[in-house]
Amino acid sequence: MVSFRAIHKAAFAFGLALAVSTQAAAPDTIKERQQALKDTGAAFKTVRDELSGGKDVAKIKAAAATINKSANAMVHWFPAGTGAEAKVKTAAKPEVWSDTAGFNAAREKFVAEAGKFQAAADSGDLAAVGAGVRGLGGACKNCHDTYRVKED
Amino acid sequence: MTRIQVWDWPVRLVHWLLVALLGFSWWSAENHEMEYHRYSGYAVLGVLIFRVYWGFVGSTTARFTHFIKRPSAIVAYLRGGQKVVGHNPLGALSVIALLSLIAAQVGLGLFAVDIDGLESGPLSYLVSFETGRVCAEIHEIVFKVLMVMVIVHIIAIVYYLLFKRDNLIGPMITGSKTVASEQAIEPISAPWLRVIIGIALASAVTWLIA
Repeated sequence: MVSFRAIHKAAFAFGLALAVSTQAAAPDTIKERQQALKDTGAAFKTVRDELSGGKDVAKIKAAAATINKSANAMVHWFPAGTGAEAKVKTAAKPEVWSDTAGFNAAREKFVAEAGKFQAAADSGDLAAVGAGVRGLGGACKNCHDTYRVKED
Repeated sequence: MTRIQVWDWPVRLVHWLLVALLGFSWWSAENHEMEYHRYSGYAVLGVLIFRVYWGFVGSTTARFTHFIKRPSAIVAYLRGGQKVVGHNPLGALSVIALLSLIAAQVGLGLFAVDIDGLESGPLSYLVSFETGRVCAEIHEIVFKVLMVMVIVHIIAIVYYLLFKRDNLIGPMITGSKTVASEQAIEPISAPWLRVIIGIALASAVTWLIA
């Protein structure tokens, strides 16, 4: 028969392991979301470059897919503990966690815009893509203005 | 004492345009008015191209050959401190430094990309997002260096005004200055045709880039 003490010990060990693993994971989560956001910025640049120059629909589609993927994955990018307390340089403001409702609304706006944008890109209609740039850019800016530390 | 013309009007106009445009560029960047910031940068580019062209074909004191001196001449000037019509050998270094920094700043701005990929210089499509970001970061560093040089420039002018009793600001506005008769140089002229060619050249290059 398993003693209470053994269960207690096991539970404690499990809790400790969990605590350690989340602690170790926080910097990784931050680095992963930073990389994904950089890729998103790069994808947005690709869209704008192709709209003004190359007109390469395949590149625009791929970039729109990258952006849409980021938008949908973002819900997992800001778990509790991945703010300044993680001791990794992050531009995410404390408001991300203190104003969860506002942050989620901003994130969902990005999800909606990114979805529309990918649909426009998939249609291959560059005029529709061009028209979508402003809304998509606005969704980025909308969130960044409130929840990201200003540069400088 | 004679009153002579020291700076032709294009030199003066270039100078004050750069003052205004640097101020406007700073303001527009601070306020995230990136559309204005780009236009301001294009204007700076045009003014710079004109100034370089004018450094070869402009009036006497505008020419690089007139004010860029060997280090020995700079040392001699520092020892003797004789009055010079036009840029003195030391001031010439500051002119070159300021023009180079502004050129570097405009050049970097052409390739810079903002952190979101939302705003960028007109040539950024030639470089990757990463490279564009590096350009933007150096753009900020060069701005700080440029500000230091502008402050040095202003301190030097105040020093000349207060301690050497030499007003450098007036001539940069009016173009003329009272000097000892033996310092008089040939009259300065800025032929209209050359000015027009310069403006056409600067506009064409800027338009191609922007």
